[in-house]
This record gives sequence, structure tokens and C-alpha cells, in this order.
Amino acid sequence: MLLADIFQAFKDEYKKSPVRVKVLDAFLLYALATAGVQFAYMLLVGSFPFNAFLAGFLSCIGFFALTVCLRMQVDPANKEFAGTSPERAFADYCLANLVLHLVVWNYMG
Amino acid sequence: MARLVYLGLALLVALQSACASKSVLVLLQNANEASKYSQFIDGIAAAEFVVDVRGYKDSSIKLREYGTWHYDDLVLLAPKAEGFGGGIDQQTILDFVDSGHNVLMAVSSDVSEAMRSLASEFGVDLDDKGTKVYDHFNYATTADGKSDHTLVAAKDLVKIPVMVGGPYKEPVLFRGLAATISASSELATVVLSAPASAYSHDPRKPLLEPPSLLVGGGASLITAVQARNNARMVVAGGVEMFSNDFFDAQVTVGRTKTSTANRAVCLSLARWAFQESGVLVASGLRHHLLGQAEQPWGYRVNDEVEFLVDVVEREGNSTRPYKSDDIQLEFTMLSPYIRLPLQHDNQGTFSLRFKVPDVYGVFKYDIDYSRRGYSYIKLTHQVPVRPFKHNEYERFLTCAYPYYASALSMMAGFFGLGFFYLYHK
Repeated sequence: MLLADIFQAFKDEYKKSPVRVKVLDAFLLYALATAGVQFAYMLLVGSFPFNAFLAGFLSCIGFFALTVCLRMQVDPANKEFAGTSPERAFADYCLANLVLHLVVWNYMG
Repeated sequence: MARLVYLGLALLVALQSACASKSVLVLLQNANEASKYSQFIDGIAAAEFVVDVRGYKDSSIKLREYGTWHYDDLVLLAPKAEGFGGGIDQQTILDFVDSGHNVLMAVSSDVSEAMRSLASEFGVDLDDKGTKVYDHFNYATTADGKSDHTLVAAKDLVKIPVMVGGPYKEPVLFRGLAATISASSELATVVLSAPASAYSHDPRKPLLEPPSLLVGGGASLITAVQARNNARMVVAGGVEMFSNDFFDAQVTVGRTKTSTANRAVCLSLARWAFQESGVLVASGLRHHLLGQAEQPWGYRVNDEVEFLVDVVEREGNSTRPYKSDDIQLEFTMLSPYIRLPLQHDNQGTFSLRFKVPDVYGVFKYDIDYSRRGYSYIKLTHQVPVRPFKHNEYERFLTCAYPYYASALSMMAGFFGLGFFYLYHK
């Protein structure tokens, strides 16, 4: 009873957040789902090219972490980062993703 | 002109050494006994040997002079000899064997300690002096009706045709000492073992209670030893076995009258002992990758390779290809990773195709062939095996495709996110 009320309140509040944030959240879920699929595959066939597994898994987790940072900087409800403009946040995000994917493909082998 | 003469002379010398006959020194109790063993000696001479018959005390015997051996083989038919003339002692005979030459010796119940000690140096433990082999079931009665149960008709010859010849219907007549070899001996072979009902006993001594005797199959009447340098030594417990009397004897065993197989067995054994039969020569060890002709310095793991070796069997002066399916090749590094028999085409080339194991290091081709009656083949050849080079691995692994796909999809996701972020109002 109480749980359903909490959920309902959360959903109403969430609907009020800007579209940008909701799209970022969708991408976060996508990254998590891909990481889960990879983990399940590894449990199934074993960790033979371990470097490939780590590279794929960490590309998802790294993307997740970077997108979380972007969301934190871009969400208007967040008072901490009021000073940075969304463009600046996105520029940082681009750079970080560049480095992440460079490392991922090098480690993939 | 002079050069032609020298060439001719050199050719003659080479020809002479190529088909030089081998020389045998036969030492008897005294030189008069040569008539007693004339058939045996003539048999050896007929196999293209130069035979020199002496009494053992003859001081003009020279086995070794200034470091070279005068004879190729030695026959000792003097069981009571305490020492030999001409400076031959036990150490000389052992040096003779160590340098690759062969010895055939026969003793009797009156054996001297020197001969017993020589036999034990060869690895054959003769029974004590004075003991005789008795058999109350398989004894032979000579034509004059005397039946001394020490004359044993033995039929348990070892089944190695290259040593003693084909299967014989007649028994081998024997009178003398029994011997034993160590059960773990790899070099000694019992050629003729005593019948199951035989035992060895000194008639002058009382039997122990309970008796402890050399009996049956454990008593060896003729023993052959092939040393690690392929020198052959034969120790026969009865010197009379080689005599004309036993070669020609017509005896009665049980109820059947029969002649003896002594002549065939003794001459066949002598030819084996003097390296006239059962000699294997291995040569031409080579290996290569399948599909290439030259021998590489080494291999890579998981290579397909072929190994070849030629083995011929020498018989007298003629050679013929060796035919056998039991020569094993080991591909070993501390322990054998591959151990397979070689296959032969009937021309004497033994070969094997195999895959190098998935381990890198320094391996060794190892052939260690010891078949009873044949000379040993011991060959080794070292070959290094390297691991994969960096560009010899597969570029993309099939089992890693999901990981490639997920990383690519993350990149596509970032691209899509960027599009949305920048261009959405």
C-alpha cells in the first residue's frame, strides 16, 4: 500500500523533469542492459578472451559513469553545478568518451 | 706412371680392408683338443672367419699389442683355466669386450674360479664348482646304454630365430653347470633354460633340509648378454655341448631315439655372438615440416611434421631392410609428449607423421630400441619448439563477437546521444 504510493509519487515527480534528463536516463538503462547481457554471456561460455570481455564490459560501465556525470551537470534540479553551462558539460563529456573508447578498442585486441 | 701404381696399391688395400675376414681366437684346454671340437671350429671357419686355435697356456698368444686387438672375437672352451698365457687376464678380456668385441665362453662342472669370476663380470652367475644339472625325467641315454642323469635333453630354447635359428624338433644335449641372471636384467637373455624337472646340485654335498636349489626354468643353461656398446657375450654352462660327440650323438630320451640339435644351435649362436646376424644399423635421421623438403632448425607449436630414419639389418656381409612394427619414437621434453610406433615401407625407411604438442621448449627425438637378439638402436636429436609469434594468432575471435558488438553499440549510442543533445530544442 505504502510502496504503491511511493512509486506513484515518484512517477508524478519524474514526469516533471526535462526531456533531456529523461533521454539521458534512457541511455543509462541501455548501457546497463548491454553490460548485463555481456556478463550473462561470460557466465555462459567462460571468460576465454578475458581482455575482450573486460573491454566490452568496461565500455558499458564507463559510458554509464560518464553519462551520469553529464546528467548531474545538466539537471536543473541540481544546485551544485549551477555554474557550468550545458555546452561546457557536453564538451567534457565528448572528450572523456573519446578517451574511453580509445582505451576500450586498444584493450579489445 | 708411379702415381698409377700407388693408386692401384691403395685400391687393393681398401678392397682388402673392405672385405677383410674377421679373426677368432679359440682357447682350448690344450691344443690337442682341437679334434674334439673340429666340427664347431670348421663351422665357424665356414662362415668366413679366420680361426686360430691355441691351448690356453700358450705363451705366444697375443690378444692385444700396442693398443690394437689382434682378434675380433674370443672363444673360451677351457673351463679349468686359472689364468691365460701371453698376458691375458680378466681385465684384458673385459677391455676386449669394452672395445666392442665379442666373447663366447663355455664352462663345465670343473670350472675354475677365474672362469666363474669372468662369467659374473659378464652378468651371469654360474652355480658353484662341482654342481651338476640333474634331470630324472628328461635325461638322455647314449648309444651304449649308459644313463647318467646329468645328460640333459633340453628343449626350452628361446624363440628368437636370429639368435638360435628356427624351431627344432630335436633336443639340445647338455651336461654341466646351471646359471642365473638377475631378474631385472635388461641386457641378459636366457637362451636355453633347463627343463621344468631339472635341478642343480653338488653330489658330494648333502642336500639341505629343506633343499634350496636352482631348479627348472630359473636355471639357465646358455645365457647371452649384449652390452650397451653392442658387444655380445655368450656363457654356456657345458663345454661338451660344442664337441663333436654331442653334435653327432644319437640318444634315447624317454622312449624316443633322436639326434641332437646341438650343431645347428651352437653354430647359429656363435654366428650371433660374432655379430654376423641380428645387427641393426640406423642412419639417415631426418625430419621436416609436412609440405617442405629441408630440415628446419626448429618448429612452432602445433606444426605438422614428419620424421624419418633408415634401418638396415646386417647379416654377414649383406644388408637387407629391417622390417618391424615396434620401433618407437618419443618426442620428449623431460617426459615424452608423443610416443608412437614408426611405420615402415618395406625398403627400410621408418617414418612417422605427427603434430607438435601445444607446449614450447627444447624437445628431443628419442629412439631407444632394445629388441632381444638385435643390437640396440639409441638415437637422439634435439629440436627447439617456439611459441606463436604475435602475428600468428587469429585476428578476430568468434567467441569475442558479443564484446565487439557491445563496444560498437556503446559508441553508436554516444553518437546518437550527441545528435539528440545538440539538435533537440
